[in-house]
Amino acid sequence: MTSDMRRIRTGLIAASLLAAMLCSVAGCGGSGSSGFDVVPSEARTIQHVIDAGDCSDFDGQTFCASGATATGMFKGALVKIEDHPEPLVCDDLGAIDEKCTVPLAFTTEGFDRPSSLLAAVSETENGPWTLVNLTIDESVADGPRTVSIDVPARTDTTAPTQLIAAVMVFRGAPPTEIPAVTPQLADFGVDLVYVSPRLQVVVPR
Amino acid sequence: MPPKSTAPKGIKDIFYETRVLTGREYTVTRFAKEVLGGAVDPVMLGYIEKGKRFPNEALVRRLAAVRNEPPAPLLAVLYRDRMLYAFGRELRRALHDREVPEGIEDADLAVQVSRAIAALPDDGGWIPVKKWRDQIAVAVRDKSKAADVGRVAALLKERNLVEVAKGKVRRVSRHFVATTMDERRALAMEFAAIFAKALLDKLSLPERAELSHVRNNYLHIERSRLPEFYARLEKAARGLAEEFAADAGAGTEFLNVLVVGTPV
Repeated sequence: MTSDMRRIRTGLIAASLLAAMLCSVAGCGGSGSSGFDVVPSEARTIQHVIDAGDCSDFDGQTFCASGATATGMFKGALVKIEDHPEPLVCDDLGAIDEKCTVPLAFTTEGFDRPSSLLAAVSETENGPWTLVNLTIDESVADGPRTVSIDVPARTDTTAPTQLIAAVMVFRGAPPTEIPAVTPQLADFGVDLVYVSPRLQVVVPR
Repeated sequence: MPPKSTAPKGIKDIFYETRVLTGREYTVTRFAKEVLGGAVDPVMLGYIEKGKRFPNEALVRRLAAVRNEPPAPLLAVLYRDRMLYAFGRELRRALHDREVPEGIEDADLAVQVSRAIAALPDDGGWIPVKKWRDQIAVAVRDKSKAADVGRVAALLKERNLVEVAKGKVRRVSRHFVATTMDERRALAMEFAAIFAKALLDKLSLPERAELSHVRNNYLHIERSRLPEFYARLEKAARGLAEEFAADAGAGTEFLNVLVVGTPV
């Protein structure tokens, strides 16, 4: 065992002990609510824009469906995520249990103020959201800027992986310390979010 | 041993438990005659235990004496049940829903749903399905309705509120929306029961008054700002609930915070 692995394992044990201790002190209970109407939430907003194909605001952030023209501070701009009616096929799998990723391209248009992009994926509208690699094709001089993100797929199941990809647009640079995984997209401190239609990724066996 | 039920008790439950839990295997007939001194007909006592009739106040006082308890808390349960019965009857009229047999058990589904959601960690962590079902079962007071556990679990799964995999379950979403007529009636009855209990505790049971918080906040507000006000109220209530939520245990209460805002 290398010292790095030992350090990681020690860290994980310490983290789980800390979590158990916090649960025993503060409780890890649950809460909920019931009512006659839906509660506005980020998940509901994402669900709405995917189904309606438009943009909608929630909690100070704008959420748009792929191809919808943005409102708010990025008014007139748009992000178009490559349409995939058929499941994406993730065939770059090297070894069993290795993470499998497939590129998903999108284009951006009309961003006339300095902005930066990050991307995240989730299996449902409810999160959690995980940052993924994003590659910008800098060779495009005119026209829409082409970008691609690496969409991960589960390799431990034969069922297709359900995914929603989110392209996050920040005014200027993104926050310096950004978490790798967050419960909600809003936790990335994003200004504008474009979400893909619901995608399926399959890993051939 | 399954955990003791903490579902709200009706007056019928109190009559039934008193007869059965004395440990002397009283039949309804013997209990009516020997313990209650013939103050109630055995057939009527059977109806009371099934929730088909209400006892009168004198009989409730008599039962309190048998239990060696002050009568006020038991009378409060009777008053609440009567209020709910009247509320349920008028609600069915308002909803044009007269096909449903009258009763005060309409809230059961809503109570079980709330217990089932609160049994799952807010952080989305997985727990064993068996543990979860045991928690739902706590809300099923009538053990002849054990199938309710499966019904509630299936309902939450169907609504995508929970995710089940490999014998474990986790929270996906925390808000249950009543959509069918049955669900809406059950929820209305639950809300009415919560409000009635809080008022009765506050007004007629000094020893329980501090456990409930009843307050009306009022203001003039621009009509256009109502959605924003409600959204922030919702956010604040949710934040507090998540901050204070603890594992169910001997030292915890299942707190219901009913938030109502309406222009009058």
